[in-house]
Order: sequence, then C-alpha cells, then structure tokens
Amino acid sequence: MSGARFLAFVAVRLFVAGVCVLTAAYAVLNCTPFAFEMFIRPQLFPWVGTFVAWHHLWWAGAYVASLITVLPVIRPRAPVSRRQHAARVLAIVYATAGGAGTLVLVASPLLPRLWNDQKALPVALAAFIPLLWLAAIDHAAAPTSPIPDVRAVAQRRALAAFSLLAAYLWVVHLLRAVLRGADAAVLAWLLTGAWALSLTLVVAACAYATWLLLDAVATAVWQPAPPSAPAVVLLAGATCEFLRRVVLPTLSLESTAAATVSVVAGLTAAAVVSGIARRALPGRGAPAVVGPARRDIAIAVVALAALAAGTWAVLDDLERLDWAFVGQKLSVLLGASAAFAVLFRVARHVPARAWSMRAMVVPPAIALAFFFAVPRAALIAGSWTGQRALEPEMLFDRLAGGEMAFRFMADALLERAATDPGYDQFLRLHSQPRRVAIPDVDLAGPRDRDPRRRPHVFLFVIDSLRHDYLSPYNAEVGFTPSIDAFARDAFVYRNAFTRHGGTQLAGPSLWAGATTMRGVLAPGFDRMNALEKLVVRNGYRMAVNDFTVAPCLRPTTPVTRLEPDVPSVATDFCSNLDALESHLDVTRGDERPVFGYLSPMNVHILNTRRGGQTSLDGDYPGFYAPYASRVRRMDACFGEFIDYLRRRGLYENSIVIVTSDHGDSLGEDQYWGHGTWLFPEVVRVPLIVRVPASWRGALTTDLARVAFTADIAPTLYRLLGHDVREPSPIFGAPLIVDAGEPLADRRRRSFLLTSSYGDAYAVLRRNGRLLYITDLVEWREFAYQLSPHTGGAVPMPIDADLRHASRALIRAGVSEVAGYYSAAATPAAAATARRDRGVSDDVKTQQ
Amino acid sequence: MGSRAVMRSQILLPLAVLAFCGAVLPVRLPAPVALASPEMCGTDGDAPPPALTRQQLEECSALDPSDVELLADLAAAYESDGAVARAEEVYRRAVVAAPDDGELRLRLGRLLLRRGKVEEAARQAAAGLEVQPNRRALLDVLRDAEPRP
Repeated sequence: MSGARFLAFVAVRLFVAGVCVLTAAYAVLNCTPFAFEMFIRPQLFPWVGTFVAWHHLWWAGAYVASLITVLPVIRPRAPVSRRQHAARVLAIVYATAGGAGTLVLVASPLLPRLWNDQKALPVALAAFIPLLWLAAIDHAAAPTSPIPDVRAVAQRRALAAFSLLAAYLWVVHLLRAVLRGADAAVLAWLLTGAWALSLTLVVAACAYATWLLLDAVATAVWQPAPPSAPAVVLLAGATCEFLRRVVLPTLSLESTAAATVSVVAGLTAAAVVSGIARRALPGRGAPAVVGPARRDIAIAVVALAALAAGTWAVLDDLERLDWAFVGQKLSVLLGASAAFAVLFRVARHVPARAWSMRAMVVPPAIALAFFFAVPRAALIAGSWTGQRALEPEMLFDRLAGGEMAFRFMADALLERAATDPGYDQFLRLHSQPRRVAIPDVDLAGPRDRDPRRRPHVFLFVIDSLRHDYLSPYNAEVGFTPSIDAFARDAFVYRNAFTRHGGTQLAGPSLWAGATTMRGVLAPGFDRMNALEKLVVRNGYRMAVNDFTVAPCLRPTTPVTRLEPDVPSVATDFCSNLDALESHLDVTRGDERPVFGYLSPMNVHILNTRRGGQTSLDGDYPGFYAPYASRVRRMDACFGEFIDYLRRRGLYENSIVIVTSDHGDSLGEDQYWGHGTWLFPEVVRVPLIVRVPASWRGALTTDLARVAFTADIAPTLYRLLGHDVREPSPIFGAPLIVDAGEPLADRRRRSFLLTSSYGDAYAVLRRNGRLLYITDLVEWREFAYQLSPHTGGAVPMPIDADLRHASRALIRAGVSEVAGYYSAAATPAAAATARRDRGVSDDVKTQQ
Repeated sequence: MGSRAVMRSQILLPLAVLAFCGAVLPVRLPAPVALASPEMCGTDGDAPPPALTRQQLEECSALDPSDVELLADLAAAYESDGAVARAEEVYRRAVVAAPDDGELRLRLGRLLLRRGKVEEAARQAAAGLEVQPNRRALLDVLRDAEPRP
C-alpha cells in the first residue's frame, strides 16, 4: 500500500474504531447503576446525548467507511493465495452480515433504548465484533514477507530501549514535579529524586523482562517470530489491566463483567493494531532500510522533546477535571508507549551481541536493590534529622506522589494498605448498588411542643462549597462580607461534616436526616423523606430548585419548581434567588409559610473548570481564583436576598440555613473535585443556621460539637416545635434544643462517612478530630488530625493499632447502615418495593 | 551454549526474574517504630470506654497528648482523688488542645470556682458560652462567679 493510501486507510479505521469504542463505552456506563445514575440519566454531557440520538447514522457511516477498506480484499486485482481467499470470504461475510445489521439498526435504533438492565453488557461486547472481524480480514489479507531474524540483537536492543525509557520518564516527570511541587528542603528533593528513579527503574526492569520473555516464547512458537509480537501481547495485556484495575472499578462495575469487558477490549486492541501494522509491511523482497544513527538520534530527540511538552500540557489540562485520575493515567501510559516506540527505533543501531545471562539478570537486580534501599535511606535520614516529613510514606506521597507518573508506578509497586482480604471484600460487597427496602420513617415524636411555630425556612445547599472559603470559618477570607454579617447573628458550626462525599448520597441524606446508601434514592424515597413530611405536616408550600431529590417528591406535595428549564449543571445561585424573590412576591397573598430549597452549582468543579479556569474578577492570593470569585458573586447575591427579606418584613420570621452537600478538593496533593475520595476538604462543610432573634434566648446548642448535614432535618423538626425521634443511630439529631435541655453526647462516638461514587469509606472520631479513610479505588488508607478551631488537617502516619481500631469502626458503621436498611425489608416493605419497581419501569419507557 | 539451551535460558531467565518480582512486589514502605498507640486506651467507639485507673490514664495521655477525652478523664480522676491542682493543670492542657470545647470550659470553670479563682472561672464560663450559648450549667458558673453584694 502506498504511503498516502495507507494513511487514508488508517484514518478510516480510526473513525470506525472510534464509533465502536464509544458505543461500547456508552453501553458499559449503562451496565452499572452508579454510572447510569451519575452520567446517563442526568445527561451530564450533552454531546453524549447527541451521539446516542444519532448513533444509528454514525454506525451506518462507520460501516460504509469500513466497506471501502475491505473492497480491495473482496475484489483483488491479482491471483490470490489460500490465505487471501480466506480473507475474501471473511470480507464478503462482513459486508453482508454487517450490512444487514446496520439496516436493522437504522430502522430501529438501539442505543437510545438502552437502559440499566441486562441488555447493556451484551451490547457493549457486541460493539467490538466489527473491529475483531476487520482485524481478522487484515491478518488474512496482509502480504507475507521474509521476517528478518533479529533474535541476535533483541536483548541488547531491548535493554538499551528500556534503559533510555526509564531515563526519559524520570527526567521529564521529576522536572515537572520540581517545577510544580511544594516547597521542600534540598535533602527532601534528593531523596524524592532517588525514590522516583527507583520506581522507574523497577518498572522498566519488569517491562524489559516481560518483553524478552514474550519475544523468546514467540520465537519458540513461530521460528522466527515477528519482531512486533512482544509489543502486541503487551498492548493486549496493558489494555486489559488498565481497564480492569484503573477504569472500571471507578464505575463500580461488577468484577466478572469488568474482567470480561477488559479481556475483550484488550484482545480487540491488539488484533486491530497488529492487523493494521501487518497491512503496512513492505512487500516481498523489499529489505528494511536503516538510516544513519545520527539522523535517527536527532529525530528521536526532537520527537521526545515534543512528546514531553505534549504530555505536560495534557496532564495540566486534565488535572482539574478528571475522573479518579483515569485520564491522567491514560495520558502517562500513552506518552510512555510513544516514547518507547521512538527509543526502540533508535536502539536498532545498538551493535548485535550474543544472548547474555548477565545482561538479563544484572539490570533488574540493580533496580530492585535500589528500590529497597531508598526508603530505608529516607527512614534513616528522617530519624537523624528528626524530621518526620522525611519518612518515606510522608515524603514520597507529598513530593513524588504529586506527579501522576510516579503515583501510577507507586500504586503498582507499593502495598498501600495492609492486606486484609476479608475487610476489602466486606466493603466491596456493601458498595454494590442494590434495591433497598426503604422504611417508612417519621422523625416527629408523639408530642408537639409548640405547633404555633411556623416560620419561613430557607435552606441553601450550595454544591461543593468549602467552609474555608467563607469568612466565618477563615479569617483570611475577605470576599464574603454578606455571609460574614449574616453569621454574626447566627449559629456557626465549626465542626460540621457531610456523611457522604458526593451529591448522589449527600442530597438524600440531608432530606432524610440520616446516613443513606446506594439504592435509597429510588421510587419510595418519599417514605423516609423527612423534610418533605415536615413540610406537609406543617402546612408549608415548597419553592425548590434541585435535581437530586426534588424529582422524588410526591405529586401531592405543594411544590413550585424554580427555573425548571435550566439544566442542572447551569443552576446559578443569583438567578435562583431572583426566582425565589419573584415567587414570594407573586404569592404574597398565600398565608402558608414557605420552605425554600436551592442547590446551585456555581462552584461545582464543572463550572470552575470551564471557561479556561478563569476568575470572574481578578486575583485572590492564597485561593483558587475561579472558585473564590464565584463565591464572592454568590455572597453578594445572598446579601441582596437577606436585604429583600428584611424589606418584606420576613427576616425575623425566617430560619435561614447556609450549607453545602459536600466540599471540594482544589489541588490538595493534586486532587481536584470530589470524585471517589473522602479527604478533609471534601467532607468538611460550612453550616450556618440563623433563627429569629426572638428565639435565641430560649435555645442552646454546641458550636464545637461534631455536626452533620443529616442533623438539619431533625433540627428543623425541633425548631418547628416537634419532639424528635431517633429511629436508629444512623439518623441525625437536633443541633439546637431548648435551653436547659441536654444535647446528644457525641464526644466519644464514631461516625461512618461514605463515598457516593466509589468504594471509599471513612470514620470520623474524637469529636471530629481524627479522620481515617479506607479508599479501595486507590488501594490506599489515609489518616488526618483535624482541628475544628483552625480548620486545618495534618496527615498522620498510620500504625497497626490505629489501622486495626479504625477498620473495626468502619466495619461496624457499614454493618449498622446496611443492617438498618436490610431490617426494613419486611414482607410488606418487599411488596412495596416490587410496586416501586413497577413505577420505575414506567419511567424507563417514557424516555 | 547450544541453541536449545540458549532458547531455554531465554525463556527461563526472564520468567525467573518476573517470578522474583512477583514474589517481592508490591512492598510496604518501612515505617518508624510506632509508639504504643492510645488505641489500647479506648477513648472512643460506641461501647463505653474501659474504666482505666489514674496511672493508666496518665500513661495513655502521655502517649497521645492531643486526646482531650483522655485528658478530661485524667483530670476527673485527679479531682476524685483530691489532687485539684493537678486536675486544674490537666484541664488547662485540654482547653489549649481544644479551645472550642464547651464541656471542658465548664469543668475547668467549676473547678476554679471550688478553688476560689472566681474571675478566671467567669472567663472560662464566658468562653464556654461562646460555643454553647445559653447552656444552663455555664450560666450557673457565671452567676456563681459574680461577686455577692
């Protein structure tokens, strides 16, 4: 095939592969309830909806384009061999069967009808079939040519290539870490550099041994083997393992399905790439051309410099909007693969020598010895200098671990958490989404203390708002004067947390006044929706802008949806408040008190990341400006709303609460957003509660006691004059009680926190001063000392006792939550759940 | 080496290297020898904490000076034994570790009242009321600290 024709061939095949892979990816997202609820149902990315809606045409286009590439096989110009005849048969079958399938798809599009059910996985696997078939055609139709016996140079060439790759990765990524990294002493950076070098050497050594093993096995089988055999097998293995261990666990895909998808994807990648490569082989008799070494080296240097710059740029771009670091890890892997291809080509100039046992054993031995020595050297340095920050776990995580390439390598080479299969399995089992039986819960006790209390209630749950970006929590903040003024007259809870690290569970938890689990936000949630019941019981009317729980409100609940046509990701606090004010004005004659609930997304990572990550109005030294500027804007609008309430004479008859469903990572240890993790900056929230001034003298609270957003519902019950029940320890408790009443003692209690999106759990202990996290997505554990007084968080080393005690508490907490929802599975509840599933099926067909 | 022997070594040696790597990896990073953890002292968890002797409390709080629950228990133990000066000192340490803990301010305030340090007791009660507004017990301390006519 000529150069131009081959490029066109590759372009078409890339298009076909793109359509097939996107189809498979969409189907995989439908396989898991978590990904379906998180990405598909709320239509988080509009382009996905467009692709799905026009999928039948995309598929037809890909089929026609692929036909162009197989037509020369169907109609060969020259006499064909037996293999090429077989290729022709395959191509004819592909053309006919593929054509029939495409016609069916155009007539009855499949993807828009795909749902979170048993059809999704077969569709995902079937999407790979066209690629595998085309690869089979390519292999059968590829010209045969004499395969040079390159065994004599393979070992030296591989050793040179992998050594250079290790050097390249170390230099490029260490430089990036140094330029972006934290301030640290020279000794710290020297140890970090040595650690990073040891990681790359071990990875390169393992890859070198694997390459030689595959090459030797291929030679023994084929004699001689194609030089690309090791690369193809490595591609299959890397694709399979990357999907199985890095990508699919973040979507909570069940392990058998994940393994199946991974294996099929890996085989497909290897088959497609090797098939296309074989079509590009020179014809029979054409010798391989090797140019001068200097020219190759010059080209390699330029290529590697461009590759390094490109990798940096892509990592910078992905950093602030990535899902569990999948994109960044993929970028590192692709960058390293491309670098290896360049270096392997250059390494062909290495003089050939006979196979050497020493060259096989010595380099890996040196790499491993260095790898074991460096952490011990760091430990000795730490004890000599007295600096705990030089101890390996702290040092390597803080400096080297901030660079994705080294973190990726460390994840593979280090055992982060002490292995405990029973504990891991227990947590993973409870992470699986399930249909829970939602109990019928009433938080109101039998006695109403003061049924006359019916103030307006305004509950503002600002998605991803951090407490340390508000002046009542951080004296360095000067851009929230309105909230500052509001807080002087309010209860500011300095030790407030969410029970869940993401909206999907944090929202229902707030409405229910309890810890929730996956599967709770489903038809039937109204049975434990405490806030909705409070509204109905007390004759309130609701004015709501919310996309998480509001869709589950009963049809009979009096609700006005504010700005219903604005997509979830675009909800704006200022606009919401304007709509709320308009609603209050228009309904001035309605004597019922208002329950206003807003959950805007102004500072969600999707919005602070858009627009080139720019600030709305200048710099904010010490803060992340795109985020801080949006907080300032919201603060101004909030101040205007408070002024509005005062003008209307509503302020002294209103309860106003400002909080968030969870916080957000803004670059701490290179984490951005609130994915699957439960770090302090994600689980801490602001919680400011203002009650009418005339009430304050008769109430008491404890502003330093650990508090949760799940306490808001019980608090409102108490403030509105109800006794409050605690059906189970998983429920919240009132934060504010009558003066003279005792508050529930939480000093010695531990509290389970869970991720909404992944297998991560945490326990909050010692009145919110110790946070211990088990993260099974990253296979790591973390511990932090928290200071409610300063809002700070200091990483703690984890010793065996701390690990043992904290894991026991996490285990107990998970059992308690799961036990509560399981205990509610009475026969009557199961019948109700079946009825609910009937409702959900109706919802499905409406789409 | 004959060609078959070479082929065998070309397969077995890399396999041996990979097997060795598989056996030793992943590794745990070495950690410093930890001090015995106050986990043994059991200050939290849903079960009631074990009743520790004063000496055990002293050892436990020395292991983890930041555990204010231990400090509070230790101070209470000193109070029970009549060692009020030591109790005051431990309560003060606890208050420094957790200045926002109204319960500690209350206990320290009551102790100071008993020791006749009324102005200081009033200050502690006032600080406690900053975080536990209208708490009856703190108001009582404040009232009792007022000079009598």
